[in-house]
Amino acid sequence: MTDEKVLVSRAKDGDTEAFAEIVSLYQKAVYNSALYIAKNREDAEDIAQEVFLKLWRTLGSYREDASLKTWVARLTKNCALDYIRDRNKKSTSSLTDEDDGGENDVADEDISSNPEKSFEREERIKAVRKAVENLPGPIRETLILREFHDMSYAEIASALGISEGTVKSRVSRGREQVKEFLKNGNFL
Amino acid sequence: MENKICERVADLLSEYIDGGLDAKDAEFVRAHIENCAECRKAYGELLALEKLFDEAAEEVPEGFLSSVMERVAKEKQIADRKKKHPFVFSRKVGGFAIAAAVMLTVVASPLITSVLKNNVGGETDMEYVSSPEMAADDYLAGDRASPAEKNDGLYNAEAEVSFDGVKDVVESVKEEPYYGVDFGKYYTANMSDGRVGRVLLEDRGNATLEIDGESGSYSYEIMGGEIVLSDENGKLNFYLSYGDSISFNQVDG
Ligand SMILES: [Zn+2]
Repeated sequence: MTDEKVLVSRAKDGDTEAFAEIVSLYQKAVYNSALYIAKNREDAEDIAQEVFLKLWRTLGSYREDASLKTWVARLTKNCALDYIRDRNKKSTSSLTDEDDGGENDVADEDISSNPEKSFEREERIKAVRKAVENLPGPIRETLILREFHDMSYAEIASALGISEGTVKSRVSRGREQVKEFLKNGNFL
Repeated sequence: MENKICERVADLLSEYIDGGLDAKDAEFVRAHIENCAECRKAYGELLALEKLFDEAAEEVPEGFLSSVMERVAKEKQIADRKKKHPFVFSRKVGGFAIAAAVMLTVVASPLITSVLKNNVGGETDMEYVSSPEMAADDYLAGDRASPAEKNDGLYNAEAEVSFDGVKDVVESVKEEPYYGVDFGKYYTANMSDGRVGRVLLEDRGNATLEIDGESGSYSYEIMGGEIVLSDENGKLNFYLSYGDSISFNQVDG
């Protein structure tokens, strides 16, 4: 058994320490995907927390024929859906905040909480975010799984229910588009 | 110029940096970029881009792990109590509501509402009992058939589909939710020749049409019962109408 499988089987038996190790393995990937969905850190953190609570609750039904990565990716998708559904409910009930994405966008935000990051670096990171946000949905979703969840083409195909060929072409085109965007802004 | 070869290399580069190519293709790419300055540059840019993606990934906020674990500990406590006193926590499935308040704030045509009915949600007082919500979770986690597949989500369409002037018959059309920066809906048409066409309609008006892995970006508008997809230069208009069936029809732009 791999280390991860050992962790999963211990967590299934209710071992919270083992579960904490699993969370540590995946938290960065999940949080970063959530950032692209919520576009602000507070909501991204909420989404990511929900993902791991769901993971805890559903471990019992997790069969190890799918990789844990794929499982986590599906749960992330699930929680993102819930989040967007809630957000849309809220935004239809108040007419004023039709576009609340503007000021809170992570892509527009100062990253001054990390003073050692240079200005150029901040600008570069913002540009990457903007570029990814500008991608058509399916391409963005696929590219995020490749770049942030470090999933293989096969794993992404299984998580999204699409063919590996489609994954390959989306990843390739997504990278091409992000590259062009960054080149236009002299970031690459 | 080795234009054709460079094009082929450009197609393979992304997979090359992911280490996904077989030995023969990988060697072909490696040998070519050694000798072709232009492709070597494209390769270098792609590697630089990967570094940028790494750089752009943020660390989780401080205290993230401990707040997750606090909530997990609480749930575990409840579950343990439930094990000891199986009758204390009664199974109560409530709020079996239809979550139709979702998305597409656009036009609430009867056609759209009928599609939205597939989003069956629900709540339970305990997450450990089986509930419609858990079933939905299981579905998303790949465990069960889509709730949508059990009712109206799967259309047995007798629609005709026409892409690039070639007509085909749609065997079935499936509608499913989609997440992204926008909320959206995916419509998948399975055609009789085995090809699959998918249209994604995102909340803010972006549409993506995919057929056999090829895709195009469009904007869309809902007009009456029809959804009109058009691309930037107006050359292609697809319209998607749905009722008992969904059809994709290409019309002149
Ligand atoms: Zn070349």
